[in-house]
Amino acid sequence: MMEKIFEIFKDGLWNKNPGLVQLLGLCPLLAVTSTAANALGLGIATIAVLTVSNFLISAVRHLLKAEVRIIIYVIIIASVVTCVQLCMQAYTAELYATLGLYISLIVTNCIIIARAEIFASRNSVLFSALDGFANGLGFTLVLLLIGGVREIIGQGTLFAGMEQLVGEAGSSMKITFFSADKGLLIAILPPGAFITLGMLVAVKNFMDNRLFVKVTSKKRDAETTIVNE
Amino acid sequence: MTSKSFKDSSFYVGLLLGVITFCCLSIVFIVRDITAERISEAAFEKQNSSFKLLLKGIKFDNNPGAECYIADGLGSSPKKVYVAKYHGRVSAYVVYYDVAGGYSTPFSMVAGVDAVTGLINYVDVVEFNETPGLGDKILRSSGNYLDSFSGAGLSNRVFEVKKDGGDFDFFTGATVTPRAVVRSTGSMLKRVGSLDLDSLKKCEGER
Repeated sequence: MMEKIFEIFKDGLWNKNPGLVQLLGLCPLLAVTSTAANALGLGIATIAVLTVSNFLISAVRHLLKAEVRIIIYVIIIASVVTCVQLCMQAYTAELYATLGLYISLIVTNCIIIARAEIFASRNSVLFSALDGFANGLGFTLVLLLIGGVREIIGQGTLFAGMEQLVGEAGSSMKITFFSADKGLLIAILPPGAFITLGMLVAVKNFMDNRLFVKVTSKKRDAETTIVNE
Repeated sequence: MTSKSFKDSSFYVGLLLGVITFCCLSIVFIVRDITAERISEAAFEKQNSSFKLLLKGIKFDNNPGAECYIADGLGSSPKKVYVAKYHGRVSAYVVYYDVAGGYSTPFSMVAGVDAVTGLINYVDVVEFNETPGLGDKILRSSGNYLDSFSGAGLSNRVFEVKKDGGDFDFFTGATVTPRAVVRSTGSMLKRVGSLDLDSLKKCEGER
């Protein structure tokens, strides 16, 4: 049980990270990551939607028929997104004004339907909810990383506009590195998003390859020692 | 009929879709009912706080949010004009208008205009989509350029940037956006000067 949970989180956060490995949901990933605060806002909304939709879909999975399962996924996901959207509109109105369009676009985010089809339709309610949370978290971390990098390079700040997300206390979270005039403009523009994402994928692959190589070479060493013995 | 063959019938599929859709919609409607009040409160607060800034220093005793008119000639589509009154007489307008002629599609601004003197009280950008780095110096988040409009009116300023022989500053290397803002604000003031509230339509309810 614990192993399975550990496995779920390892897959969601690293091995099968939705942003870096599955490369799903690129539209919001690239569009809203011009600042870390926007990225975090969308990330949290995605976590909420993924967890709840995975939970609900898993709960009704025994009732489903293969022919209509996709329709039912879409109905459930769309309802969850609408609820999240209404809540954001009510409690984080300013953030909603910035992110509005992308919140409704969560419906079409492939990660969610992919997790429903791959995981929630085959696993228990608890595991499915955890899988949704883990994948959402993995996606959020990638969003936050891209948003942070673009914001620092592009306008020299980090966490500007956090007050939209967490209220007044957020305005003191802003860190200024240098004045906005010296920022590298391309980081905020769309190409910056592609470049940053590409770099992150490259870094991740590099790390994976190195780890993988180490493991295999250790194995080989072990094998040779056995042979030598 | 065994339960297995029932699960294979089209009746079951229809029932399944119907029940799930019904449940999902019920949840959505419940959430909507719970949040509806808070959403309209948030919208009201937002409007009120913007009115406070736009009408700073102007006396009014009505709720401008309730006195809303639709006027054309302020942009690509009819725009909202809110009216502030003091003792039953119009004291100021809050005017939404488009700024055309910038780098990209028109963006929208809002101005508080003193109805008696015809001078601008305060302007701000509502929605901005100019290329980052090229026109965004006019934004209040990155400078006080828009303050140069406060106290300006057709009677005391020429609504062109200095480069074109007017009275307004511009940024070296980024004239396009200030020029568009200055010209559109000027034509907004002309339109407001000829505003006849009786001929205007009232806004239709709250959205």
